[in-house]
Amino acid sequence: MNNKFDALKDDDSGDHDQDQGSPKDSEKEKTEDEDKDQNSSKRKMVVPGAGEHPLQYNYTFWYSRRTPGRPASTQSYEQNIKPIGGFASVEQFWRFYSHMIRPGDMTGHSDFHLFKEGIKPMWEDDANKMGGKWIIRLRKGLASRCWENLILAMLGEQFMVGEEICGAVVSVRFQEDIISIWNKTASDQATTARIRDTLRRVLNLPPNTIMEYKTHTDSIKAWVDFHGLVNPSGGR
Amino acid sequence: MEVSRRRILQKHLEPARPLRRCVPADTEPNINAATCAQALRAEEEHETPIGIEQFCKIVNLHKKKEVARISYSRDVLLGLSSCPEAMKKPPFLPEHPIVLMEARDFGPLTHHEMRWNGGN
Repeated sequence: MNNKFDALKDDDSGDHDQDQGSPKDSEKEKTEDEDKDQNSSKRKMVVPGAGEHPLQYNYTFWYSRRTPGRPASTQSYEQNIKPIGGFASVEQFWRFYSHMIRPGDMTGHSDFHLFKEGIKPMWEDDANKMGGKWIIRLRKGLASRCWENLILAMLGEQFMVGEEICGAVVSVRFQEDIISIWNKTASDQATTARIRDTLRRVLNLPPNTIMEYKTHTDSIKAWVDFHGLVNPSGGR
Repeated sequence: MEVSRRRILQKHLEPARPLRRCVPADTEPNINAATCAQALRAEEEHETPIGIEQFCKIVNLHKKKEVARISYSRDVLLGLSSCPEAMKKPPFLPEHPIVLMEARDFGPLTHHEMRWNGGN
Protein backbone atom coordinates (compact mmCIF):
# COMPACT_ATOMS: atom_id res chain seq x y z
CA MET A 1 0.00 0.00 0.00
CA ASN A 2 2.92 2.35 0.63
CA ASN A 3 3.63 2.76 -3.02
CA LYS A 4 0.12 3.84 -3.69
CA PHE A 5 0.41 6.71 -1.32
CA ASP A 6 3.85 7.64 -2.54
CA ALA A 7 2.34 8.00 -5.96
CA LEU A 8 -0.33 10.29 -4.61
CA LYS A 9 2.26 12.34 -2.83
CA ASP A 10 4.13 12.81 -6.11
CA ASP A 11 0.95 13.97 -7.73
CA ASP A 12 0.34 16.55 -5.06
CA SER A 13 3.78 18.04 -5.29
CA GLY A 14 3.56 18.26 -9.06
CA ASP A 15 0.26 20.06 -9.07
CA HIS A 16 1.45 23.14 -7.25
CA ASP A 17 3.48 24.33 -10.18
CA GLN A 18 0.82 23.54 -12.65
CA ASP A 19 -1.99 25.90 -11.92
CA GLN A 20 -0.39 29.26 -12.63
CA GLY A 21 0.46 30.19 -16.23
CA SER A 22 3.96 29.61 -17.52
CA PRO A 23 6.81 29.16 -15.09
CA LYS A 24 9.91 31.34 -15.16
CA ASP A 25 12.44 30.45 -17.82
CA SER A 26 14.93 29.02 -15.39
CA GLU A 27 12.26 26.79 -13.94
CA LYS A 28 11.18 25.73 -17.39
CA GLU A 29 14.62 24.50 -18.32
CA LYS A 30 14.92 22.65 -15.08
CA THR A 31 11.60 20.88 -15.47
CA GLU A 32 12.34 19.90 -19.04
CA ASP A 33 15.50 18.21 -17.83
CA GLU A 34 13.44 16.26 -15.37
CA ASP A 35 10.96 15.18 -18.02
CA LYS A 36 12.00 11.57 -17.97
CA ASP A 37 10.57 11.14 -14.47
CA GLN A 38 6.93 11.52 -15.44
CA ASN A 39 7.05 15.17 -14.50
CA SER A 40 5.22 16.31 -17.55
CA SER A 41 2.61 18.02 -15.42
CA LYS A 42 5.29 20.53 -14.47
CA ARG A 43 6.02 21.43 -18.07
CA LYS A 44 5.14 24.75 -19.58
CA MET A 45 1.47 24.99 -20.45
CA VAL A 46 0.63 24.28 -24.07
CA VAL A 47 -1.48 26.80 -25.95
CA PRO A 48 -3.01 26.77 -29.43
CA GLY A 49 -0.86 28.47 -32.09
CA ALA A 50 -2.13 31.55 -33.91
CA GLY A 51 -4.94 30.67 -36.27
CA GLU A 52 -5.16 27.09 -35.03
CA HIS A 53 -8.36 25.39 -33.95
CA PRO A 54 -8.44 25.26 -30.13
CA LEU A 55 -9.69 22.19 -28.30
CA GLN A 56 -12.02 22.28 -25.31
CA TYR A 57 -9.26 20.75 -23.17
CA ASN A 58 -5.52 20.26 -23.45
CA TYR A 59 -4.42 16.64 -23.69
CA THR A 60 -1.28 14.58 -23.20
CA PHE A 61 -0.23 11.47 -25.11
CA TRP A 62 1.40 8.73 -23.02
CA TYR A 63 2.95 5.43 -23.97
CA SER A 64 3.67 2.37 -21.87
CA ARG A 65 5.19 -0.98 -22.56
CA ARG A 66 5.84 -3.86 -20.23
CA THR A 67 9.38 -5.10 -20.41
CA PRO A 68 9.23 -8.62 -21.81
CA GLY A 69 10.32 -11.44 -19.57
CA ARG A 70 9.62 -9.72 -16.26
CA PRO A 71 6.49 -10.47 -14.25
CA ALA A 72 4.05 -7.57 -14.08
CA SER A 73 4.13 -7.46 -10.31
CA THR A 74 7.78 -6.44 -10.21
CA GLN A 75 7.39 -3.51 -12.55
CA SER A 76 6.05 -0.19 -11.45
CA TYR A 77 3.28 0.89 -13.73
CA GLU A 78 3.99 4.50 -12.97
CA GLN A 79 7.60 4.14 -14.06
CA ASN A 80 6.54 2.50 -17.29
CA ILE A 81 4.23 5.24 -18.54
CA LYS A 82 6.07 7.88 -20.52
CA PRO A 83 4.61 11.18 -21.64
CA ILE A 84 5.08 11.78 -25.35
CA GLY A 85 3.70 15.30 -25.58
CA GLY A 86 0.84 17.65 -24.93
CA PHE A 87 -1.33 19.66 -27.28
CA ALA A 88 -4.04 22.29 -27.16
CA SER A 89 -5.29 22.54 -30.74
CA VAL A 90 -6.49 20.24 -33.51
CA GLU A 91 -3.37 20.99 -35.57
CA GLN A 92 -1.05 20.21 -32.66
CA PHE A 93 -2.89 16.94 -32.11
CA TRP A 94 -2.34 15.85 -35.72
CA ARG A 95 1.37 16.72 -35.44
CA PHE A 96 1.80 14.19 -32.64
CA TYR A 97 -0.59 11.66 -34.05
CA SER A 98 1.04 11.67 -37.47
CA HIS A 99 4.46 11.12 -35.89
CA MET A 100 3.43 8.08 -33.87
CA ILE A 101 2.95 4.56 -35.17
CA ARG A 102 -0.58 3.22 -35.22
CA PRO A 103 -1.67 0.96 -32.36
CA GLY A 104 -2.20 -1.86 -34.83
CA ASP A 105 1.50 -1.71 -35.68
CA MET A 106 2.69 -1.87 -32.06
CA THR A 107 4.14 -5.09 -30.77
CA GLY A 108 4.23 -6.71 -27.37
CA HIS A 109 2.35 -5.59 -24.30
CA SER A 110 1.94 -1.90 -25.15
CA ASP A 111 -0.53 0.90 -24.54
CA PHE A 112 -1.24 4.36 -25.88
CA HIS A 113 -3.00 6.68 -23.46
CA LEU A 114 -4.54 10.02 -24.30
CA PHE A 115 -5.57 11.92 -21.18
CA LYS A 116 -6.62 15.41 -20.30
CA GLU A 117 -3.69 17.55 -19.20
CA GLY A 118 -3.05 17.11 -15.49
CA ILE A 119 -4.64 13.63 -15.25
CA LYS A 120 -2.25 10.70 -15.12
CA PRO A 121 -3.44 7.50 -16.77
CA MET A 122 -3.53 5.79 -13.38
CA TRP A 123 -6.38 4.47 -11.26
CA GLU A 124 -5.01 6.36 -8.28
CA ASP A 125 -5.05 9.83 -9.84
CA ASP A 126 -7.47 12.17 -8.06
CA ALA A 127 -9.57 12.54 -11.20
CA ASN A 128 -9.78 8.77 -11.68
CA LYS A 129 -10.06 7.30 -8.20
CA MET A 130 -13.88 7.47 -8.07
CA GLY A 131 -14.17 6.57 -11.73
CA GLY A 132 -14.31 3.68 -14.11
CA LYS A 133 -14.03 2.78 -17.76
CA TRP A 134 -15.89 1.29 -20.65
CA ILE A 135 -13.89 -1.57 -22.13
CA ILE A 136 -14.22 -2.93 -25.64
CA ARG A 137 -12.25 -6.00 -26.63
CA LEU A 138 -11.35 -6.11 -30.28
CA ARG A 139 -10.05 -8.86 -32.44
CA LYS A 140 -6.74 -8.12 -34.11
CA GLY A 141 -6.89 -5.74 -37.03
CA LEU A 142 -9.47 -3.31 -35.64
CA ALA A 143 -7.47 -1.34 -33.10
CA SER A 144 -6.09 1.45 -35.31
CA ARG A 145 -9.42 2.38 -36.79
CA CYS A 146 -11.32 2.17 -33.48
CA TRP A 147 -8.65 4.10 -31.58
CA GLU A 148 -8.72 6.90 -34.14
CA ASN A 149 -12.50 7.13 -34.03
CA LEU A 150 -12.48 7.04 -30.23
CA ILE A 151 -9.97 9.82 -29.73
CA LEU A 152 -11.50 12.00 -32.46
CA ALA A 153 -14.84 11.73 -30.66
CA MET A 154 -13.18 12.61 -27.35
CA LEU A 155 -11.20 15.58 -28.71
CA GLY A 156 -14.26 16.81 -30.62
CA GLU A 157 -16.39 16.71 -27.43
CA GLN A 158 -18.87 14.25 -28.90
CA PHE A 159 -19.65 12.51 -25.60
CA MET A 160 -21.62 15.43 -24.15
CA VAL A 161 -21.03 14.49 -20.51
CA GLY A 162 -19.58 17.76 -19.28
CA GLU A 163 -16.29 17.34 -17.43
CA GLU A 164 -16.69 13.61 -16.95
CA ILE A 165 -14.27 12.19 -19.52
CA CYS A 166 -10.72 11.67 -18.24
CA GLY A 167 -9.02 9.95 -21.16
CA ALA A 168 -8.79 6.97 -23.47
CA VAL A 169 -6.48 3.96 -23.73
CA VAL A 170 -5.66 1.44 -26.42
CA SER A 171 -3.94 -1.71 -25.18
CA VAL A 172 -2.22 -4.09 -27.56
CA ARG A 173 -2.16 -7.61 -26.17
CA PHE A 174 -1.19 -11.02 -27.44
CA GLN A 175 -4.44 -12.22 -28.96
CA GLU A 176 -6.66 -9.18 -28.83
CA ASP A 177 -6.60 -5.42 -28.50
CA ILE A 178 -8.60 -3.44 -25.96
CA ILE A 179 -9.81 0.12 -26.14
CA SER A 180 -11.27 1.92 -23.17
CA ILE A 181 -12.54 5.34 -22.17
CA TRP A 182 -12.24 6.52 -18.58
CA ASN A 183 -14.65 8.79 -16.74
CA LYS A 184 -14.61 10.47 -13.35
CA THR A 185 -17.71 9.18 -11.61
CA ALA A 186 -18.41 5.46 -11.88
CA SER A 187 -21.64 5.83 -9.91
CA ASP A 188 -23.15 8.33 -12.35
CA GLN A 189 -25.30 6.01 -14.41
CA ALA A 190 -26.71 8.68 -16.71
CA THR A 191 -23.17 9.59 -17.70
CA THR A 192 -21.92 6.05 -18.19
CA ALA A 193 -25.01 5.21 -20.28
CA ARG A 194 -24.45 8.23 -22.46
CA ILE A 195 -20.79 7.34 -22.96
CA ARG A 196 -21.78 3.80 -23.95
CA ASP A 197 -24.33 5.05 -26.48
CA THR A 198 -21.86 7.52 -27.97
CA LEU A 199 -19.21 4.79 -28.21
CA ARG A 200 -21.62 2.56 -30.12
CA ARG A 201 -22.38 5.39 -32.51
CA VAL A 202 -18.88 6.68 -33.18
CA LEU A 203 -16.99 3.38 -33.27
CA ASN A 204 -19.27 1.68 -35.76
CA LEU A 205 -18.49 -1.64 -34.14
CA PRO A 206 -19.37 -5.09 -35.41
CA PRO A 207 -22.84 -5.94 -34.00
CA ASN A 208 -21.70 -8.70 -31.65
CA THR A 209 -19.10 -6.53 -29.86
CA ILE A 210 -19.32 -6.79 -26.07
CA MET A 211 -18.95 -3.66 -23.98
CA GLU A 212 -18.13 -3.86 -20.30
CA TYR A 213 -18.01 -1.18 -17.60
CA LYS A 214 -15.47 -1.62 -14.84
CA THR A 215 -14.90 0.66 -11.85
CA HIS A 216 -11.30 1.43 -10.98
CA THR A 217 -11.81 0.23 -7.42
CA ASP A 218 -12.80 -3.16 -8.87
CA SER A 219 -9.73 -3.05 -11.12
CA ILE A 220 -7.49 -2.40 -8.12
CA LYS A 221 -9.13 -5.22 -6.15
CA ALA A 222 -8.80 -7.63 -9.06
CA TRP A 223 -5.16 -6.68 -9.50
CA VAL A 224 -4.37 -7.23 -5.84
CA ASP A 225 -6.29 -10.53 -5.79
CA PHE A 226 -4.46 -11.77 -8.84
CA HIS A 227 -0.95 -10.68 -7.90
CA GLY A 228 -1.48 -11.10 -4.19
CA LEU A 229 0.49 -8.07 -2.99
CA VAL A 230 1.70 -4.95 -2.03
CA ASN A 231 1.92 -2.84 -5.10
CA PRO A 232 -1.45 -1.95 -6.53
CA SER A 233 0.01 0.94 -8.50
CA GLY A 234 2.30 -1.56 -10.16
CA GLY A 235 1.95 -3.27 -13.52
CA ARG A 236 -1.38 -3.92 -15.14
CA MET B 1 -42.85 77.91 29.34
CA GLU B 2 -41.65 74.47 30.20
CA VAL B 3 -45.04 72.94 29.79
CA SER B 4 -45.75 74.53 26.43
CA ARG B 5 -42.39 73.53 24.97
CA ARG B 6 -42.98 69.94 25.95
CA ARG B 7 -46.32 70.03 24.22
CA ILE B 8 -44.84 71.33 20.97
CA LEU B 9 -42.22 68.62 20.98
CA GLN B 10 -44.77 65.93 21.56
CA LYS B 11 -47.03 67.19 18.79
CA HIS B 12 -44.14 67.31 16.37
CA LEU B 13 -42.66 63.95 17.16
CA GLU B 14 -45.60 61.70 17.49
CA PRO B 15 -46.77 61.46 13.88
CA ALA B 16 -43.27 61.63 12.43
CA ARG B 17 -41.79 58.62 14.20
CA PRO B 18 -43.10 55.78 12.12
CA LEU B 19 -42.20 57.54 8.85
CA ARG B 20 -38.64 58.23 9.87
CA ARG B 21 -38.06 54.57 10.55
CA CYS B 22 -38.74 53.37 7.03
CA VAL B 23 -38.16 56.29 4.64
CA PRO B 24 -34.91 58.10 3.77
CA ALA B 25 -34.76 61.52 5.35
CA ASP B 26 -34.57 63.55 2.13
CA THR B 27 -37.84 62.24 0.70
CA GLU B 28 -39.63 62.51 3.97
CA PRO B 29 -41.49 65.73 3.31
CA ASN B 30 -43.27 64.38 0.21
CA ILE B 31 -44.38 61.06 1.59
CA ASN B 32 -48.05 60.30 1.47
CA ALA B 33 -50.11 57.42 0.14
CA ALA B 34 -50.52 58.91 -3.33
CA THR B 35 -46.84 59.54 -3.99
CA CYS B 36 -45.98 56.08 -2.73
CA ALA B 37 -48.32 54.49 -5.24
CA GLN B 38 -46.90 56.70 -7.98
CA ALA B 39 -43.39 55.71 -7.14
CA LEU B 40 -44.32 52.03 -7.27
CA ARG B 41 -46.01 52.45 -10.61
CA ALA B 42 -43.02 54.31 -11.97
CA GLU B 43 -40.79 51.47 -10.88
CA GLU B 44 -43.01 48.90 -12.55
CA GLU B 45 -43.08 50.88 -15.74
CA HIS B 46 -39.33 51.18 -15.64
CA GLU B 47 -39.00 47.41 -15.50
CA THR B 48 -41.38 46.42 -18.27
CA PRO B 49 -39.09 47.50 -21.16
CA ILE B 50 -36.96 44.40 -20.34
CA GLY B 51 -39.23 42.64 -22.75
CA ILE B 52 -39.05 39.33 -24.53
CA GLU B 53 -35.97 40.23 -26.56
CA GLN B 54 -33.88 41.19 -23.61
CA PHE B 55 -35.19 38.27 -21.60
CA CYS B 56 -34.07 35.86 -24.32
CA LYS B 57 -30.67 37.51 -24.38
CA ILE B 58 -30.26 36.99 -20.67
CA VAL B 59 -31.37 33.37 -20.88
CA ASN B 60 -29.01 32.72 -23.79
CA LEU B 61 -26.10 34.19 -21.89
CA HIS B 62 -26.74 31.69 -19.13
CA LYS B 63 -27.17 28.85 -21.60
CA LYS B 64 -23.88 29.69 -23.30
CA LYS B 65 -22.09 29.45 -20.01
CA GLU B 66 -23.31 25.89 -19.58
CA VAL B 67 -23.26 24.58 -23.12
CA ALA B 68 -20.59 26.50 -25.01
CA ARG B 69 -18.09 23.72 -25.60
CA ILE B 70 -15.68 23.60 -28.46
CA SER B 71 -16.81 20.60 -30.42
CA TYR B 72 -15.74 19.19 -33.79
CA SER B 73 -17.22 16.43 -35.88
CA ARG B 74 -15.00 13.59 -37.05
CA ASP B 75 -15.08 14.94 -40.60
CA VAL B 76 -13.95 18.42 -39.55
CA LEU B 77 -11.07 16.96 -37.53
CA LEU B 78 -10.03 14.66 -40.37
CA GLY B 79 -10.26 17.59 -42.77
CA LEU B 80 -7.70 19.48 -40.70
CA SER B 81 -5.26 16.55 -40.69
CA SER B 82 -3.95 17.37 -44.15
CA CYS B 83 -3.18 21.06 -43.58
CA PRO B 84 0.55 21.92 -43.51
CA GLU B 85 0.46 22.93 -39.82
CA ALA B 86 -0.75 19.46 -38.90
CA MET B 87 2.12 17.71 -40.71
CA LYS B 88 5.00 19.53 -38.96
CA LYS B 89 7.09 17.56 -36.54
CA PRO B 90 6.42 18.62 -32.92
CA PRO B 91 9.43 20.45 -31.43
CA PHE B 92 9.87 18.26 -28.34
CA LEU B 93 9.28 14.73 -29.50
CA PRO B 94 11.15 12.13 -27.46
CA GLU B 95 13.23 9.57 -29.30
CA HIS B 96 11.31 6.39 -29.10
CA PRO B 97 10.55 3.30 -31.19
CA ILE B 98 6.93 4.37 -31.52
CA VAL B 99 7.90 7.87 -32.67
CA LEU B 100 8.30 8.35 -36.42
CA MET B 101 10.87 10.65 -37.97
CA GLU B 102 8.48 11.79 -40.68
CA ALA B 103 4.73 12.25 -40.63
CA ARG B 104 2.98 9.19 -41.88
CA ASP B 105 0.46 9.68 -44.57
CA PHE B 106 -3.07 9.35 -43.32
CA GLY B 107 -5.29 8.63 -46.16
CA PRO B 108 -7.68 8.09 -43.25
CA LEU B 109 -6.78 4.53 -42.40
CA THR B 110 -7.65 3.22 -45.82
CA HIS B 111 -4.97 0.57 -45.70
CA HIS B 112 -6.18 -0.74 -42.37
CA GLU B 113 -9.81 -0.49 -43.28
CA MET B 114 -9.19 -2.42 -46.45
CA ARG B 115 -7.38 -5.05 -44.49
CA TRP B 116 -10.20 -5.20 -41.97
CA ASN B 117 -12.91 -5.46 -44.62
CA GLY B 118 -10.86 -7.99 -46.54
CA GLY B 119 -10.49 -10.08 -43.43
CA ASN B 120 -14.21 -10.18 -42.86
